[in-house]
Amino acid sequence: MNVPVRIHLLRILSSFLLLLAWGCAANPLSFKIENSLPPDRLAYYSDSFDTFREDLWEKSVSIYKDTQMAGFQLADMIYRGGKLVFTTQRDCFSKAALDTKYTLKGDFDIQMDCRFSPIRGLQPMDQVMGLGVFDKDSGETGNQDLVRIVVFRGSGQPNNFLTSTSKNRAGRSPNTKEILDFDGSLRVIRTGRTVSTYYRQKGEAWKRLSAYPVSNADLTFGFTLQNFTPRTNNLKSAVPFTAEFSEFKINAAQDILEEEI
Amino acid sequence: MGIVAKYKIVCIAGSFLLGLVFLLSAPGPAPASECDLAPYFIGKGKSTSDEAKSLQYYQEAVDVCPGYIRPYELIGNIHRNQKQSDLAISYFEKAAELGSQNSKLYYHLARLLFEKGQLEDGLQHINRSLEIRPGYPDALALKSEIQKALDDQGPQIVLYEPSTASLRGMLVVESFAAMIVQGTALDRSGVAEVKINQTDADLDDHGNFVKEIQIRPGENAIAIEATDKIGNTSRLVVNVHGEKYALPALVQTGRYASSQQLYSKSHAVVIGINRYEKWPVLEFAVNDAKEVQKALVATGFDDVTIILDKEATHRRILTELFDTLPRKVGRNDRVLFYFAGHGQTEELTGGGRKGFIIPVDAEVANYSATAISMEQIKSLSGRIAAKHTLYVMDSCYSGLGFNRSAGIDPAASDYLRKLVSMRVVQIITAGGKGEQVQERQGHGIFTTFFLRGIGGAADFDGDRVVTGSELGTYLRPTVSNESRQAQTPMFGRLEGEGEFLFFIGDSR
Repeated sequence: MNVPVRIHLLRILSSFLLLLAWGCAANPLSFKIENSLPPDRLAYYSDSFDTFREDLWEKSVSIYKDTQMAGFQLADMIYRGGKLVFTTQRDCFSKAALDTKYTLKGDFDIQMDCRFSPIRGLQPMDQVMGLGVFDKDSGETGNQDLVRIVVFRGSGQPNNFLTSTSKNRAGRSPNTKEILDFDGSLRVIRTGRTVSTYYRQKGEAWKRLSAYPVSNADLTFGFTLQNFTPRTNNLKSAVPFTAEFSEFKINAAQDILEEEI
Repeated sequence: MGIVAKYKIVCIAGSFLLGLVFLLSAPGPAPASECDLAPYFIGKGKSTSDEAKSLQYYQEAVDVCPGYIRPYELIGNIHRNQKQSDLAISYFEKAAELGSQNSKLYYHLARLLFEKGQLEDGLQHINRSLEIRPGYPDALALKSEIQKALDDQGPQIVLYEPSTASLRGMLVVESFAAMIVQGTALDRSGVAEVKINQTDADLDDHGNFVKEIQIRPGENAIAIEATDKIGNTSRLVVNVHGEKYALPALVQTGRYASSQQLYSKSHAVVIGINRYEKWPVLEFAVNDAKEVQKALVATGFDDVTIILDKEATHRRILTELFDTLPRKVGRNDRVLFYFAGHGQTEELTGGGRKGFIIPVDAEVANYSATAISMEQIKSLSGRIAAKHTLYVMDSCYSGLGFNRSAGIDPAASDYLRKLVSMRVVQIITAGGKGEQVQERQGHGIFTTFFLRGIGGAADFDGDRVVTGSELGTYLRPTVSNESRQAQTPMFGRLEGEGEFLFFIGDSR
């Protein structure tokens, strides 16, 4: 076998190995959280959204500017048939959000089912559904270290996108997907100092969005629906829109630290 | 005015009109509800590590929305951490008053009240915490601490049987006899266990305990030890004196003309229920009870209490059996309890069965709390001093736990004389579990034959005395055949070896 042929074969083999490695990394089931809390303890923190659980969730919203605060109204939060439904208010800055009253310490694997169909047409408002984890001690609300997955349709934009972002890596993830609607599950996994994000449309397999370096700080989980972004100064939100959340599950976590109250 | 000037004026006017149209058509921001901003201030307060700033944000949340619960919890917690207990309590109490469902709020409030010595209030709040979050470990631990502080004494022991008032420490036994020890242990922390003579007694959730023990001639010390759920123990010792029995001198062998010779008094409680409030209505139970009352009077019973239909409530029956009857029954008396109505048998989860009689006001679901268990009925025999007791149940049961010993050999000399002197508690039921009591021609089949039996049909040896065993022996095949095996009466002894006696045609 001559040298060019050997090099060619080596390239093929290395490509195959790379593909194999990528395939493993893309499959979240290959993640094994070591030393996780027992399932019965984790089950306490999972929520099927039959009713509001004051022991688990904090109603806490971030508003980024005075102009937004002047016309702000909380989005409706309604529990309906095992789903938590957020619906924005019209003609105002509107948002609803829940954060956990506990932090996740060490490695963890959490997921949540959600459904969001942004209103079609060139709406003069942002439509953002997001969930993620943040370090609440890293700064004031709206300026904290975070990793989140968002489904959004920007003001005046013709398409919906699914992406994940982190404070430390501004802009869209290289794995941003153009989608029609989202109806499935979103998942956040931390192993060591990396947080990885995944999504799964109903009936499909998990797909990886991205991964981000993070500190070893304990992280709070939160989710939101809002009709504005930090940059928005004014908007015409003539139409309310809705997102449904259900089945929040902590698949694994090394420790959970509850707040004092 | 030049063309340019005119054009400028038109443009300015046009712009003004356009602006006006825009202002009127474009929806401006809706006015914010003040309360909508409360979660914003909560978020701001929680994201700063400066307690003073946090307090300021939480206070703003209170200011914009005084009915919003969460800032009171958070402000209270800051004061708690700053060891300002009174302030913390006042904020926590405000949150509780507004209807907080936060288990930790009630936990912290309970802790602070406990530390201030307000134990009852602390207990109330810790119970609320556990209602919201059952099994909350911190709350359970605090509850235990509060209970220990509140309760440093063992349970109060109330003894029903042996009744020291009625027995006066005297119990007649031959070589040995079974005695029921029964009572209630009361404790605010709950009763964990009751031991009688160092052996576990049966204990229910309400602190009722029961245990059968053996009594011997001479002094018998009965030591009852009750321990509550936090480990406090109390002890009660009752002394019972057992005597060797002696044959009564007045009793003669041979034929007995009347019950007066053998019993000082004859008591009966007769119950019949047709018109149940919640259970299916019956047709002839009341008729049966009335007929039994007449027959008992005719056979020498001088104290017959009849309780029918709406009178036959759970409370009334228990009062009659456990209060009225024990106070009037003497040692040389006989007692008959007759019940015609619904009966029910429950399969116990741990195996075995438990029988109930159903009062007129019993619930259908969860009937056990409003029915009267056969255990309770059986315990009556321990509360009354009667020489002979007979339960006649025109209902079907199982799991009564009686034995089938035949008692004294009828061929023995001084047979009746011996029977009369020995204590006995017997029971006859209309059928077993799962059988249906049959009614015919205005009466239950069982009661029809019961009346015939005590009227003489069960007097197998022709001595004009029908014993409990003779009655059972008569009823079992007769009723079974008459009902075409739909019901087969059961009879047996709950205690003792004597015989309940009916005297044919005996009227005082």
